[in-house]
Amino acid sequence: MFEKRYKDEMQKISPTKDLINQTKAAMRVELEDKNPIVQKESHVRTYRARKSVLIAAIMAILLLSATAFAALGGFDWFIARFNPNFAGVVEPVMSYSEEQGIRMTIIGAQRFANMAIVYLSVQDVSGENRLTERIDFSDGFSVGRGISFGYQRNLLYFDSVTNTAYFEIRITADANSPLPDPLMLGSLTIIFGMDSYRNEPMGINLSAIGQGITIPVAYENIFVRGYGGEQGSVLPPNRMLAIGNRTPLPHGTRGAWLSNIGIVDGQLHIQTNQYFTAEFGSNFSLLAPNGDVIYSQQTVDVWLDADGNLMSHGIEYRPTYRVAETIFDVNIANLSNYTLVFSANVPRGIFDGNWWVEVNTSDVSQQMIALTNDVSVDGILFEFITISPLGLQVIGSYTGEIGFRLSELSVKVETSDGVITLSGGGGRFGNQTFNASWDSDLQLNITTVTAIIVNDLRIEVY
Amino acid sequence: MSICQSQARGDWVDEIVDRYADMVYRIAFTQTKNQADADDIFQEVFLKLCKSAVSFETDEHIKAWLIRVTINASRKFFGSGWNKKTVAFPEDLVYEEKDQYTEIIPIVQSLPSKYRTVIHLFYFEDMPIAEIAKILNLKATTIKSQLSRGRGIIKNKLKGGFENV
Repeated sequence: MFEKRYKDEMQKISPTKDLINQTKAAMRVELEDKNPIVQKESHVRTYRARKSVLIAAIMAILLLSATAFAALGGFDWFIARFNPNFAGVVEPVMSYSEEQGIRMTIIGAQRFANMAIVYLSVQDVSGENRLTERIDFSDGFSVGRGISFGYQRNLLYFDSVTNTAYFEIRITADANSPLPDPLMLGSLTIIFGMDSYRNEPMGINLSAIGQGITIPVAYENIFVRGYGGEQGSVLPPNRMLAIGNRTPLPHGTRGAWLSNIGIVDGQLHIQTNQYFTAEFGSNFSLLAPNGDVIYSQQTVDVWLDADGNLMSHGIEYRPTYRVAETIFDVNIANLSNYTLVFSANVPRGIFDGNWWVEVNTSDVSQQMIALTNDVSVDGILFEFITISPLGLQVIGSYTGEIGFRLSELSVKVETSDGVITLSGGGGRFGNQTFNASWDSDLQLNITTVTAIIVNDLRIEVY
Repeated sequence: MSICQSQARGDWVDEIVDRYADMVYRIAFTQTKNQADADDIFQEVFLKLCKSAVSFETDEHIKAWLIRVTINASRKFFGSGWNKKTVAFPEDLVYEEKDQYTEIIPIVQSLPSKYRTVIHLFYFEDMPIAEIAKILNLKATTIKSQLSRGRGIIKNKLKGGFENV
């Protein structure tokens, strides 16, 4: 009965004929502006007709390539359009996950042992054009739960017409945390734009700042420490400002605010508070009258639970707030001489969601070379080397301490076509072992590799 | 169907508006509770369709897009600076145009926005829960829960009992 009554009544609600006609007229104008049709005079009908058809055809192709074709073309279109560095090794995937009007499409992907290459797009399909060139995944890009990995993302192109960002993402997982099969590629957080602030005045009269009301803080409450200069003998504070009321930051940001400001133990303290998951990073500096920038002596982060209590190391539940206290070691008698300034990347908007795509890839072992002969390189042992079209991964060991960073090593791949320099050397050290990786900017043709050159050592590949 | 695959531009406009005008308008009305605001949302949604670069593969795709954009446009309408300066309508406002409808619409209009939406899509548009969930990007269990709560409120407000809800 309710259903019938509701339907009967709602049937009486309709747009008026005037509204419909006005809307149609406005739509025609909108479409005309996007794709004008040129009307030619009739006395040169044959020629002009052909030309107008040609113009219309060209306009249609342009419109198609800029809009619908971008969606229709798929993998082949992407490869032809961008000619990405690893086009020859990625397999088409063309699967997507969509939430809140944001569609993440895995266009193509490939994995080689613990390295992977992914081409993906992120598009606002709602029609609201919310994405910008500064779209980012923040910390939210993942290849599967519980995997320890690093990644580099490179924005290939931002299409403002379709509101689509195209990325190349290079992934390297720790040797002891192998990439899952199938890959689960996804993101929990997409930031659709960023506004950058550099040394923006906060508008706070520092000479009016008085002694701050404080609370004790212990070493086990401090989760993060940063230093403006050399760490030296700077001790962590044992007092911090009491958590204050919210004052909006002048530049506005989602989920973060100025909490307190005051003098503690002769030093200027500035405190911000934010929701733990808020995407906001900021730092404060002081500008001297002569233009010099004075950096903070240190910053400390403490975490709070939902009731505002300080949390300690070893917690097993997620914090609710993150409080950051910036400490300046300046002569507080001269604070009136300084201007407090603020630098931050402030997200314009954030989507928290679940974009996940399962990606199956083929067996590509034929495209990899594995070397298992131990090779000593400047005192460290390269025990297991994997070469793939993406670059090099090395598992090794060392005794004592090594006096250099792996990233300082010169690593090249010698091929029959020439020598290709790799970059990287990042990875993980632990218990006299390491695993590290070096990336190639261009796809390596494994069949032409003849040697690896590390510093002056040539390791021949058979 | 995409803009590029349409016949003449005018035919496409007529076809799309004639097919979906009532649906878009009624959703906008359900959200805004008055026809003047629903008029604005209606026009905004169809103009957005023209500006959109999304490629629609089926009619269902267009329909889902229109529903989503109408709901979002209505929400932004309430969040807009202009709207914030106006006096908020009370949730239980009784409409003056009683010759158009009697008591059911005001009762549904008195529901919180999220319940209004699912009640309308379920009972008027005859959409299954799974489809509503997909369009609103919510779990089916959430939709069921919102339907149940909406029905509960309607039941309490209807005089003479509530049948077959």
